[in-house]
Amino acid sequence: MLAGSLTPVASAAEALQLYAALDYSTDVATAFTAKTGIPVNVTALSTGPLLAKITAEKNNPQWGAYWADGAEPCAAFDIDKQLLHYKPKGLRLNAVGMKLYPKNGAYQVPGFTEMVGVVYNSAKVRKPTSWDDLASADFKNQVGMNNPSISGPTYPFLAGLMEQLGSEDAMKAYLTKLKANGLRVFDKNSKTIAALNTGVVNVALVQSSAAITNVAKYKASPVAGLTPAVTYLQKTTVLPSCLAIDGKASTFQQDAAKKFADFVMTTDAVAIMTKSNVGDSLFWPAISGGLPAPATSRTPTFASGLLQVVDPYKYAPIQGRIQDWFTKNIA
Amino acid sequence: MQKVEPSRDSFSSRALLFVRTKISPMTLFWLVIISILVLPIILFLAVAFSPKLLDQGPEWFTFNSFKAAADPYFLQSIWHSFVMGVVSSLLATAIALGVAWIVLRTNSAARKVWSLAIFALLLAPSYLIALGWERIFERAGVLNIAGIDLPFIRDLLYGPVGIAMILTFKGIPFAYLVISNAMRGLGEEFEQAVRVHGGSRIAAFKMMSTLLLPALWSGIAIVFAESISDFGVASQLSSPGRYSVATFTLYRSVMSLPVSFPLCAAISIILLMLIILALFAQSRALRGRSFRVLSGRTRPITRKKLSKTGAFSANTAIYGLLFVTLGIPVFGAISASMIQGLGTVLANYQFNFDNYFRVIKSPLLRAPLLFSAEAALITATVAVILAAISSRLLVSTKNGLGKKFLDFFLLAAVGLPGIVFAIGYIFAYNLPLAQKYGFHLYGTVTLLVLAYIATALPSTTRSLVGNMNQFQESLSEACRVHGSNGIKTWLTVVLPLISRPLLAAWCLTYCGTLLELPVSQILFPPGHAPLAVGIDHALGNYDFGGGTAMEVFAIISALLVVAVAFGLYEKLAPIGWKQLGRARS
Amino acid sequence: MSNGHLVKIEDARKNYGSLAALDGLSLTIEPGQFMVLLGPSGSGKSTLIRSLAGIEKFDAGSIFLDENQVNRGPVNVAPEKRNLAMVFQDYALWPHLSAFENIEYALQRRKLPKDISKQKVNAALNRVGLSSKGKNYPHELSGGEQQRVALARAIVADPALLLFDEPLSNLDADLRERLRIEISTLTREIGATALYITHDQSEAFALADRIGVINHGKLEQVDLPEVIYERPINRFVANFTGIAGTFTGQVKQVLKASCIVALGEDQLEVRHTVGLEVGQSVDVLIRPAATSFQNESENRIGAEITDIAYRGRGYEHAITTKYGTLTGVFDTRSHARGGTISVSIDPDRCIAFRSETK
Repeated sequence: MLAGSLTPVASAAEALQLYAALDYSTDVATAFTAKTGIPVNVTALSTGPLLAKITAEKNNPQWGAYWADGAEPCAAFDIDKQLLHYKPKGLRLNAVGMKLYPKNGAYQVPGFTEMVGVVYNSAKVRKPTSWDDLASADFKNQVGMNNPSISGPTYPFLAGLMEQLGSEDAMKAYLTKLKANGLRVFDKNSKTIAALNTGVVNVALVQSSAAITNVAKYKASPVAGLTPAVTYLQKTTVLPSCLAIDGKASTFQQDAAKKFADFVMTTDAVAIMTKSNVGDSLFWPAISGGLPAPATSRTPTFASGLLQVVDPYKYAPIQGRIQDWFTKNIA
Repeated sequence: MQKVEPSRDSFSSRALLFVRTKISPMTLFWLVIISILVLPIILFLAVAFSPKLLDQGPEWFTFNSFKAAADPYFLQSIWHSFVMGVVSSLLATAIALGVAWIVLRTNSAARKVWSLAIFALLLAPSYLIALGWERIFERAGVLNIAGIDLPFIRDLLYGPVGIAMILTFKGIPFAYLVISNAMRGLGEEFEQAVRVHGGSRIAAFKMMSTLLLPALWSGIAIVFAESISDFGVASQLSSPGRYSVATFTLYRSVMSLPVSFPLCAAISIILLMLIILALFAQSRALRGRSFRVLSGRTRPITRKKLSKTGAFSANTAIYGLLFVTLGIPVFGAISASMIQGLGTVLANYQFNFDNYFRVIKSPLLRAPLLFSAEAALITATVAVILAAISSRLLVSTKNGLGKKFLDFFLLAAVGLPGIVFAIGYIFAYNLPLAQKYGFHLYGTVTLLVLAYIATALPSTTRSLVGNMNQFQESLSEACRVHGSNGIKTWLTVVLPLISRPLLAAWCLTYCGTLLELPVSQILFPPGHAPLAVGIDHALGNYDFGGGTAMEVFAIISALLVVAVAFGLYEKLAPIGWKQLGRARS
Repeated sequence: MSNGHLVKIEDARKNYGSLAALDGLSLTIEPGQFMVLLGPSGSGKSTLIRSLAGIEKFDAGSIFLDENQVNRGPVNVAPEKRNLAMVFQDYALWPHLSAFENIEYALQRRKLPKDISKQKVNAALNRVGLSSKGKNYPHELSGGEQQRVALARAIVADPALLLFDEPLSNLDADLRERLRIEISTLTREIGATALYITHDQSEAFALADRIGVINHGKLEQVDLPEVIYERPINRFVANFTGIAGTFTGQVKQVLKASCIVALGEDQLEVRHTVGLEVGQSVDVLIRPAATSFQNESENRIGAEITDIAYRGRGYEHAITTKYGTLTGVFDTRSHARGGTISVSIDPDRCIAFRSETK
């Protein structure tokens, strides 16, 4: 078995190399291959290791396409002139999608989630009403959030706070206030959720897909003393899932990646992505006519004034500094 | 009558042949070591000084990466790493020495349990060990449910004390393997000499410990290096804000934007300097003394018959240690994998095997398990052979450059967290020039296995050093003067004499490779996810029950392989091999 | 016709750091000859024998086995190709092999059919008196038995050169003698050339066809044992081959093959080294064999008995004279401690060397 696999599944000359941090990517790749006949090698990892690989391959990139939550990495790659700009023909985006899609076509945005969905244990605490509310006495020692240095989707949350509160300092002041109120920091979504489920915290600030998954899970099999519910506070930052094409890849890779982008930015692909109805699948499509997964009960729009979009090109360059500050002062 | 083969006129051609054959085996060995160990490490570390070398920055030569290390926050985390390393290595070695003495030198009933449990201990991933402890002490954990709240202990657990404790537990098996191998080869005449000259039991024990110094120092060095390169335990129990260690910054520098390999390399170099300190201390301590005590004149040990209180104390010590180091993670695994939802542990629980049934059918388990098992098998076999040669080199009296070189790189490989090692592999094996000429290993299973071998080589080597140190040169010289060439000497005398330690080293490598994560993550070819990547995936998808069930399956499968390996050895190995170092009960 | 190698070592040099272990040593061993290298520890004999075996290398100098040079610069013919065998001081029996297997191992290079091989091994075991111990492992054998297995292992393949690295030093006295005889007879039976190193002069004299006395990496004297003993070339050789005591005096008269040395009130006739002049200060080195209590000779001195040791065949006495002590003075009768006696000195068995002014 091992002997037969001494060479990769298909060599780089013959298959699209897709680095993806989203669960549904394998299913989408299979459907793409069935439709176009182009094989796809999916390297499925979380964002961190993917970024490490891509950066390490810089002098001889092996990847054709990158697909993960968060626009900041793509913006950073684009600033570094690593991406191929491309706009699929016949692209139709909904209102949120149009705001998220980069004008220069540096990356594709098939869908989005929200940072953050505020999961709270309704059996133990009341529903939080605003960001400042989380810093109040009612939520003292109750709140947990992810560490942006480790959790890929979390930095946009901080970027959103900076955007909403007006400045870097204002965001820092707010988080410092939360910290003084007993904020706990966990590595990533799964750990923060676990903290909520085991009662270490009663409010978890996590990615919306994680939040909805958890709520659905305990609705299906209730546990005494634990009734998660989710709410979204004014304002919640939209987190796009982004598909980028390597500008340094071979012609074959780029052509295949473009075709893949074409495929992904369709409602058919959205249907495949939402099929599992759990985890990453619980996103909202950016494509016009795309339907979200059944478990998501609302479709967000800008009409409510709840949502905001941040410019990744503005916030990507300072990500390191912000994360460092967070590590030293909040974590 | 046989003459010496060459006649005078054919000497030059024979000499040429001799020179050629002299080159092959050792040269091949060095070639392998350089390709799999030295090259990735050097390329990675070079990026600290020369980012542009691998397109990681604009400068061809700079010290900028080290400026980040001058940050007081980071310096403090280095200090924390150092403290964790020292504490865990000393404790683990001391405990391992005591355990080895009880298991090998006495008739304690607990010794048979320990010998099997040691592998389970090696297999227990640090995540599970930490999780088990959390289960007990966390809010809404076992003690809480039972009405006991110990915030003081909880605070200790989630800080340096907890980290040091679990690093110690993880270190005990490494130290034990090294020390027990050496102790087996130590005849009791040295301790007897102490007793007949008026020394107490304690004095005899001290004498034995002194003779085991090379093994003790090996244990300290390995555990120190493993501890300072640890990321999993520290990140589980602490956070960068509470008790930060150097590996936090290192991981952050490569796993999130902005990815900075120069910074990562700079941090790695600093970690390596700590390890050089450890090596230096080791060589100072062992300087100039002879520890060569294993020979044909070594007689088997007669086990001490313990008195009633002695037996009670010894058994309690072993069982207690096993309970704390193993029992708790097992409890953690069971509770996590058998409970529907990680809710409160006892209230409203449902113990069942649903997770196991689900997981056994899951593609996330079966294919990765088989893949990793095959890879681990190959890795273990190759690594053990390389380790035997390396350990022999390390103990040779000739203080050559090769020996120092190997010593450093082996320890560097341990002290570098797995992820940076893996990145070094990308640097080394993704070179555009090499690819142009058709030599491209990046993205293949071959490269992954090579990386596994390189990652395993250091600890495997050090686990054999103790035995090699005791191996008397005259035994192999006797082979040479009685007609065996170098290879035959190895196959017929050197390897059989260390067959049991070799077997232990093989099992150690197998188990370690099976559940290896960081290198697997970075280097696995698409479509061939190793086991740990699959498990990590499940855990990342909030499927704690399923993920842990997979871990348990993996560990059981590994234990089965170990049991089969030892069983085969007992059945098939010649008597002469097995009776070495065996005690008379 | 012997089966042994002709061994020639030419101008051997070896340094360990600044220490010269071998300092231009040259030696020839005729085929079938039993050569013993006698010298104190650190004299270089170990280095020499190990280099001959091929497990160490000279820095300079050549080794010839028969007509073949086995070393040239960095290139060394491997030990396993030199058709030799070696008996080690620590026996070096492989602990995981039984006695039979240890011996059989050494025979593998001859590539004999299995039954013949088995025969030869059993014959070797038999020859050293261990036919019942073939199945035993080294740790089940006594020290003497282990060394005998080592000996059997060395001879079983009929090597052309046998090397002995102080093989008896770890054995107790009675075993030593028995095993020495085994070594002596076995080696001569198979006709191999032998090089034996030791620091024990009685061992050397008992075994050797020729003795080479080695000191600080140089050969002081190579000759028949009798010549070494009776006509040592210098005081080191004399001292190292058994001296009862040393007296210092002045040359009073020089005769044809001896001289008269004045020792205070007494005088002694002694054989002298060449080139002594009247009036020179000399050290007289006296062999134990030179001493006797039988008062026939005129060459005698008064002494007091300080110690007496029973040796089975008789008694050895340590005596004190005005000019120094003498040990090993033998008599079949015992003479009590504290008694005075006259000891006669055989001039043929003492040698005068010019005094060393330090």
